[in-house]
Amino acid sequence: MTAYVARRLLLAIPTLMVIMLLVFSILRLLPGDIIKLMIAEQNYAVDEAALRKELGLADPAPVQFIKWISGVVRGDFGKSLWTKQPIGEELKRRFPVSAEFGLYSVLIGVLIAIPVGIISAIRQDTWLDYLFRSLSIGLISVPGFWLATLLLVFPVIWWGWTPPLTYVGWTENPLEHLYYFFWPALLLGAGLSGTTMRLTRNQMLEVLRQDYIRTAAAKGLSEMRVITRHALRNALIPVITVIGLQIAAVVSGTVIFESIFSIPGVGRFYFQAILFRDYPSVQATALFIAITVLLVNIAIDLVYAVIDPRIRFA
Amino acid sequence: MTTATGTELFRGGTVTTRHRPYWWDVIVRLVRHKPLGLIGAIIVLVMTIAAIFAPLLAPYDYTEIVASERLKPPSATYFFGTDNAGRDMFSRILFGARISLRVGLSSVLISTTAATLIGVVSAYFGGWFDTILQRFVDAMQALPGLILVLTIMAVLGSGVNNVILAIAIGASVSGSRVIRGAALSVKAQPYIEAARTLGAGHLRIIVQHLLPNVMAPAITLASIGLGAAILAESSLSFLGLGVPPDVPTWGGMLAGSGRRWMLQAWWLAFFPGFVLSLAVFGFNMLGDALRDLLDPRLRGAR
Repeated sequence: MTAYVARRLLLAIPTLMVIMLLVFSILRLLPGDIIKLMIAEQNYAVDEAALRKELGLADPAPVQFIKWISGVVRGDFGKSLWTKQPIGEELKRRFPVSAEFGLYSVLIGVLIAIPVGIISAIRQDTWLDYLFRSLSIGLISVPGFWLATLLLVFPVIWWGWTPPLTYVGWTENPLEHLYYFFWPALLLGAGLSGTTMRLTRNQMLEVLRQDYIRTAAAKGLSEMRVITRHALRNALIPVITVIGLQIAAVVSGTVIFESIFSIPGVGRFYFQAILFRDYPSVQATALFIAITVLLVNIAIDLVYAVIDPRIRFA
Repeated sequence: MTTATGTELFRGGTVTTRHRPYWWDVIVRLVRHKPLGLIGAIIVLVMTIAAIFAPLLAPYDYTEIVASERLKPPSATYFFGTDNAGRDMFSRILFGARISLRVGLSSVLISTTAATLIGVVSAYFGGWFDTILQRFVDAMQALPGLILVLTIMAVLGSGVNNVILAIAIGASVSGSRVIRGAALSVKAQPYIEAARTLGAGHLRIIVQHLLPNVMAPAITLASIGLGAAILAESSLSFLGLGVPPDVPTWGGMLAGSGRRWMLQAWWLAFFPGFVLSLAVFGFNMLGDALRDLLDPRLRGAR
């Protein structure tokens, strides 16, 4: 196991280096007219030369790269052009918010998807199965930002009700804090659950056809016991990977949902940084997100290896 | 090699193959065995017709501002109602289909071509070249879908062509992985070795032997990618980072600027999203069905 962990971490190093190189290039690839817009629209500097100096573009590229990297490893991501705050502080404050929102969404997604997937499989080809399968296809196709729009429009018209839209901190009021996250997390989670539902159903169907399931049923075990003790355990292994892969959908979702529900997270910060042409923040946040995704992927692989010992020897 | 009705085998027997084009077969199987795929195909067809003939089908000019007709509910005159400027929503949604289809088709065409080339070349040459190229793919995949597209948009600036390019780059990164996987398995086949033994050069092997054999995954990649590309375009327009605001897009109609009117006019919130969902659903269903029909190995992968 230790060898596996070590190998997995070592393999991430070259990827990490390429990520840094790509993110570093963001500023250098900007066309000249965007630099002009940064001055004209946002007033970030008096003229182009001053802005280039401010962005650190005046030095030769290798020097810039080393300066930037040495800042990053010390946790110094530079200063935001827009908020004038250190970007590192901004990310440190916002990351727990996004992480909580993401985990909450994944949890809701799983809580919807797994029971529905199981029922769909054990009642294969009944009207219930068809209903759930259509539901999962629908959930994959309907864009989250439309669901959010509907949630913000129709309940107001019908009942005068709106989901909470002002962020409440955990320390201020824990219950309201959880309730504040509930609606956006439900919508993002519902979007995620479509894929998980389909996979759970397919995996269950496959496992239910195995000999050991017939044996378990022949021993006289109840249907409930056969499903939970024998089938589900094996069916859920691939489902866990897919839940892990959803980190990508979750991060994309945070940009949209954090903007709609004004959640003060990393996704909203990234979107605003792009909107305000605050490229140092774009750069730092892109790097931050990429490293987070990389680490989460490694963690998922490790969890997977713990659950399914066959992986370690593959 | 001949594609005649009967192929003489060297043992002397004759195998008769049906004299029907491959594509006809796929369509017949789609109609017979894939009801959801068929529904998807119909939705896609209707959307394509709507996009092509939008100027003929639209009852009103989609830019025409009629102050007296502001925020009219759906009726026989205005099927989907009118917006806060008195513009006909049905006409705007019809024209919205154009931009969705244009961005979807162009970006998928570019991304599938790029993904196929990158995947095949990377798999064929292997070694250091493959290792380094794949680290770049890994690195770009560390930025999830929308984040990667947003980042590319941030570098390129706004505009329809930049939206197409950004979505295409985003999709070709993950797509190249799928094609590389398919190409690796083709590369291990004996006929590739046979071709090399016969003295075929790299270019000949890639063009004549590898490319035709990864066409099925490439086509399925494209058909599944269309729904995702349309969704990506509308997400960008929704966030206000896509096409210019004067172009009618489904995502743009749901965006911030129109939001305060939606409480008075529910149809502004409902129809653009409904049509968008229907379109994405149609492309997803058609894509799924085509994948099952063309490439059984990828079944269930998503």
